[in-house]
Amino acid sequence: MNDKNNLTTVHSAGLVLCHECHKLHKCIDVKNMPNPQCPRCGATLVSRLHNSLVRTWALLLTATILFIPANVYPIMVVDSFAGEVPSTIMKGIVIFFKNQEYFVAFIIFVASIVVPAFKLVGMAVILRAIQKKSQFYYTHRSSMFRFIQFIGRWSMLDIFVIAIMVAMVDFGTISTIHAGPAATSFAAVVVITMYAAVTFDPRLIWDD
Amino acid sequence: MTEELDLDDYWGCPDCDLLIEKTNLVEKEKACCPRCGKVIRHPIPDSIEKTLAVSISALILFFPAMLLPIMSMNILGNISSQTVLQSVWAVFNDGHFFVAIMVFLTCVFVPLLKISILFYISLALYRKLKLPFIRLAYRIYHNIDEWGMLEIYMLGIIVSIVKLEGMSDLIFNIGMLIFACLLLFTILSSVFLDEHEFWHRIETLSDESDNF
Repeated sequence: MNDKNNLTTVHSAGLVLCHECHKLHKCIDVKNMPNPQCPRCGATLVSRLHNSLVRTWALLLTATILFIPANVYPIMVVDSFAGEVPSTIMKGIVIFFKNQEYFVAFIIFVASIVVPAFKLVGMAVILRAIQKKSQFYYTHRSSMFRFIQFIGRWSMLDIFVIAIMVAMVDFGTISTIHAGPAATSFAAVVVITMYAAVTFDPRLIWDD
Repeated sequence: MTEELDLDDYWGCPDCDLLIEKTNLVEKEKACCPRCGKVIRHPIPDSIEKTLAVSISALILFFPAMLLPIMSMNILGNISSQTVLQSVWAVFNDGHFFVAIMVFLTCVFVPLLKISILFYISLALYRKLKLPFIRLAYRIYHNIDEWGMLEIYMLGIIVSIVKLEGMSDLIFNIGMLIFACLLLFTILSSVFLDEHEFWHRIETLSDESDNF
């Protein structure tokens, strides 16, 4: 009944936890049904999320590939009578820095570069550790995953800033701002990494 | 073989799969998993009433916040104002359809859906009405919870203000205040929501009904 650390898990007790409403059910009650549903919320009852590792790896890989055009191509283009001035994410941060707006530069740097990179690397580390059946740092991996879930959304900041600027600076030939090709890639990176946190089942960290 | 466990005495940790014995919680106490630290239960007093009140306020503020201009700029006599919907439309006209759709979903559609669902469910629980599709609505709420990004839009406004300050004078319209209030109530609605209490009440509410 207990695993090697003398702790009972839901799985070893023959129970299943609904992944949406967190209600406990007995496995024997639901095993014979073709499509077991949680009686409280109607979600399909599964012991672990379906194909979690494979799906999460696939999404991470896609997001990593898309992260490259997001940083190489310009994310914003300022169009004025002086011509077009495209700027990538990095260039925008540097411009803030040169204008001595350090706080804003820091926020954009964290939201657009640090957070996505941390999510991609952090999730890859967690997945690798699970696949290598690493025996270390379980609690740290759980905390890191919860942190990744939390900060994921904040990368959308740069996308919103661009949307606001495109709407505001619309003065024809005097000055017009357009979004660049990197905007779609970057938005895709944020969405895909957020979805990767959804497909990942954190209980896999603790499974022997 | 499985022992005879009374399932009402236990909780399962959704992050590490540990089986935990239930404890009685005093107000303002949180129950955390002893192994991985995840918050399992966080009871909030009067959650239903508070959620109902805040979701009504948020719904009232929602349409003015989306339709009234938030700020305006004046360059050589040309004025441009901006609402949330206008920023979506501007990006859409620019040709970036995915970005426009994502901004629309995360800043307009999902927040509206979230506060509408909270209103619907807290009303049903408060008045003990057996309204249809409560379970489905609440499941949808939990699945789209992280996709409502009004706070991040607010931060985006602040960053844009810093960026545009140098270009010309910015005028803050009434929409800014209403948007800030909407944001406050949206945040409060997720703070006041006691997820597990709601599930428990939904279960007891539907105990007499068959197809729910």
